[in-house]
Amino acid sequence: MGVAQLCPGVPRALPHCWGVGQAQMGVPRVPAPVTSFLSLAVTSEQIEHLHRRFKQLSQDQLTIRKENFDSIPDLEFNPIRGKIVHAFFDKRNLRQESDGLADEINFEDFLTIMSYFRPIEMNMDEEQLDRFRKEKLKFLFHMYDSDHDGKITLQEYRNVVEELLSGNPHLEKESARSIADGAMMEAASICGPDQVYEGITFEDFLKMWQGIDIETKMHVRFLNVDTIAHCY
Amino acid sequence: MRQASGVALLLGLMVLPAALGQRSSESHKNSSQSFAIVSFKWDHVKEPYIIALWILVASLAKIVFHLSHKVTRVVPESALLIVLGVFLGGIVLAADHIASFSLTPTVFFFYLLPPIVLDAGYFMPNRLFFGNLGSILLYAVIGTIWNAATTGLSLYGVYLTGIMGELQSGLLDFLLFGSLIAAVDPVAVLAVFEEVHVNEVLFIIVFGESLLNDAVTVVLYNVFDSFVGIGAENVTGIECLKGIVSFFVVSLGGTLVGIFFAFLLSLVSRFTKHVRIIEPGFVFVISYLSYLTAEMLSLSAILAITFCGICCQKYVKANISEQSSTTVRYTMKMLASGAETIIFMFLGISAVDPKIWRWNTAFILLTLVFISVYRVIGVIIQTWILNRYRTVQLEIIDQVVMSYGGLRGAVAFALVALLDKDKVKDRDLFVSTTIIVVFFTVIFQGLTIKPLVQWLKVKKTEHREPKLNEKLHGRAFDHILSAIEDISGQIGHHYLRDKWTNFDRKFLRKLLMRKSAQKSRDQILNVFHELNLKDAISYVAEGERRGSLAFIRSPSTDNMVNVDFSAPLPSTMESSVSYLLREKTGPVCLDMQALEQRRKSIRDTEDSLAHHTLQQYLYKPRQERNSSVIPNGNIPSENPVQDFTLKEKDLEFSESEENNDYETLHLGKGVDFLANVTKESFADTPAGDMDHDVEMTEYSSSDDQLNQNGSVSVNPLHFFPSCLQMPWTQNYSSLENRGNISLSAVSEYIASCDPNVPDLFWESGTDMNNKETVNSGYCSEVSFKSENSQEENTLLMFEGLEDSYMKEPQEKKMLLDIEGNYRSAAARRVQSRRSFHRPKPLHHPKLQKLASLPASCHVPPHSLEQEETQL
Repeated sequence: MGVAQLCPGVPRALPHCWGVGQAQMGVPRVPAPVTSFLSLAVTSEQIEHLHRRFKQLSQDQLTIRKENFDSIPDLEFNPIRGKIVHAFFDKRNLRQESDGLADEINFEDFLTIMSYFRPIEMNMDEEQLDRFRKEKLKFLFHMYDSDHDGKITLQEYRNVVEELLSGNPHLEKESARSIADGAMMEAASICGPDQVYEGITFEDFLKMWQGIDIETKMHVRFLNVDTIAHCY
Repeated sequence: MRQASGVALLLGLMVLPAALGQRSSESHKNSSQSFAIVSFKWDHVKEPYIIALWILVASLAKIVFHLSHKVTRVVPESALLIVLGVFLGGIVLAADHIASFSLTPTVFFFYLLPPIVLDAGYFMPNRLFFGNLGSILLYAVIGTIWNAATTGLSLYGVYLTGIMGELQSGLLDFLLFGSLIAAVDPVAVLAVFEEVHVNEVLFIIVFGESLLNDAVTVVLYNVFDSFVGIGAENVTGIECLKGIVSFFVVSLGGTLVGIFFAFLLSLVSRFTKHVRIIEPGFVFVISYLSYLTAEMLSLSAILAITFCGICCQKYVKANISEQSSTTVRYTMKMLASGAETIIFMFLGISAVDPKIWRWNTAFILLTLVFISVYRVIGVIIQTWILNRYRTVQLEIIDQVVMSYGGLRGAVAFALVALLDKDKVKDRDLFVSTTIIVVFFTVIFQGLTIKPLVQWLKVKKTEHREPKLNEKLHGRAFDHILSAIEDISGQIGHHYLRDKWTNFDRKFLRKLLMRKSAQKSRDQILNVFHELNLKDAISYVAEGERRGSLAFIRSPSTDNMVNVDFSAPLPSTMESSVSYLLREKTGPVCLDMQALEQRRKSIRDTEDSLAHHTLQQYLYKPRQERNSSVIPNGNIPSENPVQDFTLKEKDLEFSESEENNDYETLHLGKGVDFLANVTKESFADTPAGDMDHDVEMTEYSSSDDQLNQNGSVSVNPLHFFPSCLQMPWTQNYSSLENRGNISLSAVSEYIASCDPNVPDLFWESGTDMNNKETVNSGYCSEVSFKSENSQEENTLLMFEGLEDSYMKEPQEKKMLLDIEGNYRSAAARRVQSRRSFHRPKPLHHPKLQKLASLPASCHVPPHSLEQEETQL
């Protein structure tokens, strides 16, 4: 599997990253294809760190299962943790041909998911940026579209909003629901009058995001790598 | 010319006290005979009087400036005010031969600066601010120290070469001067940047820097001031160390004082429920106390009040009532803007004082050069460092604007004015130089920054409507990113924010927020609420335009809204939205003043915006296209709702549509109801007969045309105003619950009508329109009224529709008789409304929309527009 196959949205030629990555590959037991992820502007150091983290979570197994995520205490308070963990096992996000849910993911998959959150790079051209952006949005879209039918239906949207707002104990479910309805109408109004409105398709989703710099929002900067790595 | 008018104003004001004095003495004579002597006590009121007059002059000057948009678009207000100040100062000097007014540091620091900084803090976009806090701090701390040191040292270096001639200053004096001239001034930056509208990141960095560098400035100033006081030879390493320590004490101490008072203020505002009237007062008094306390403890007062505002805003805004919140907002803006005006004017006035001027060309020019050059160098170096850590890179263009936006202002002037002549021998030179620097940066850079920003194509702020989706996704992002950080085991920005949010929710909110506020205070809910409120307001506006709110009460809404949501339970839908509105609005919606306020603000931005928003939220159900060409009887009555199309133009009330609807009205039982109304109002105002007659002739002619067509038609397009689709109307419908129209019945009715006829009607409608437009202004006014009444017809019609479609033939004639009366009454009602509120014409968006409609829909613009042009 080459880079192109593995990650269609990834810029194909970033020679300097490759070089650096391969030269410093000192990570034990990292599967071979991982090298390709070095082109995701994740330095070998970060990969090393992520690998350590992966082993921690998987308790030294080669794969991670859903239950492993329960061991992360900080995640507990996250109102949409279910959706996020789910996204890790969503085969659509893992760039596999098949659909559905994976039972377990290996380190490579783990890195694939993480690569959705890499920051924008200086040397990207317009086309790359566009792909980059779409890729990120696709991840988000898949998170909302829980029944994998390519549409965010009202029911799905409502679920998401309910979960999002579940952090506030004072908010009733009904208000969450009406907010979802309002948002849906808004989406419908954005997506043009000819739309048969059964749900938000990915194209509509793109439209909704027009003018918002998702690439500046949806990223995690892996800064101080080793800070809390060994707490658990 | 502008200045001439300023002079006239001023002279007029000078005369005013005398006149007022005379008048008051007369009135005194009348009222109290026992006090025979009425004195002219000018001295008694002199001080506050002069202050009030200056404020008045400054405010009037602002009005005068804004009379001409050309001037204010090019020249920033601050520059104009300075020029005005210089001019007024000249007059005062000519009259008194001494400069009697100047900006004293006490007045500036105690009365003029706090409101501006509080305003900045209280309305600080917190997320943006804290998101860029690292960059801001770097620029504020390192940048200011860099500027101070390099400027001071370079000036001293040049002084040693002897170009500047003989000065009585040592290295420390130069460094002192460098430290006070180094700081970018928040007032000047705000004044200039608010008019430039650069993108928010750039703005927050420059502005945040100008706010936070206060601590550095204060410390540097105090340190060097005391060093100069004790003499260069006594400065030891320990003193320097003390200086560094004092920086942390001053900045952190000021921040802590601010946070403490913010806590206090939030706590107090939690319990002000029963003293709503003085609620806004707490905000000002407690924040001001934070400023004074910090000043008392010789900490950074600006930091204190800034952080007081930043920290309390969330809780205070949640706790205080909507009215209080509006009051706080406006009062704060007023105070800040007033203070700013006075500061700049007095900067100008202060400059006109022969005593303070001491010219040294080399020193002044070099200062200008050095502060500009070192600012540029500093910005480039720091940005280079920052860009390695920032995700949103600061580009070259941003750096240019940042360098250029380093405006110096009143803070520097006040600081330099504070210097002691005995300690700092060259004080006058420093003062003169500071004035020149301030004038140069504010006037020259302020003037040129706008063209520069345009020329460089700096990313500007886009004013966008808050979007529910955007907010929801934003919230999702926060959670996703913090989760990713958790999973990958990193401590990042999101991690910290997430933890803070949790802490805030668990403890702070419970402590600082009212119970009810905790409930409703969710950002997403707020946006939702705002949007609903906006819709509601535009509805009211729409209703006023139509002359009635009747359209809101039309039945059948709850079914309609659910059109496309896959089988939601009507009851839950209804209850949810109405519940929410009831719950959320509380005092808001019922308070018409607050509504009016909001509404004004909407209007201010753009008149048509409200209308546009309205359209934006129209819900367009499926199969729109199909429905406009429904063949006879093909509508499946099981699912009739889907077959009604709601088009944006429904809201636009083009005349042709009305004609159409008007015709259908004849079938309505609802007219019976109208007839009753008519009789009542008819008796009230018999004077309206004229209008009535005119309309009648016009409409009877159109009636004839319609009747010739031989069939009565209803275009399904017009059946349901699309506005009924909006969620908030459900509120009304659920409250009112007036009659359930049977939708299947309607659909059958529509099916029975000929779909081709509407086009014909449109044409006839257009004819009629033309006729009206050629008439004079009077007539077009009539047409406006009649149109309104027609709209009303349309709406009320729905109520009766259910029954009417069956009995159509029999009732038609009878209704036609009634109709005349009815229309005039409605027209009169509209007229009476117009007397207190003239409906605003709609602008371009609508016209564009009209242009995009199919040809048959093309009608002349809304008659309101005609009215506008003709009158």
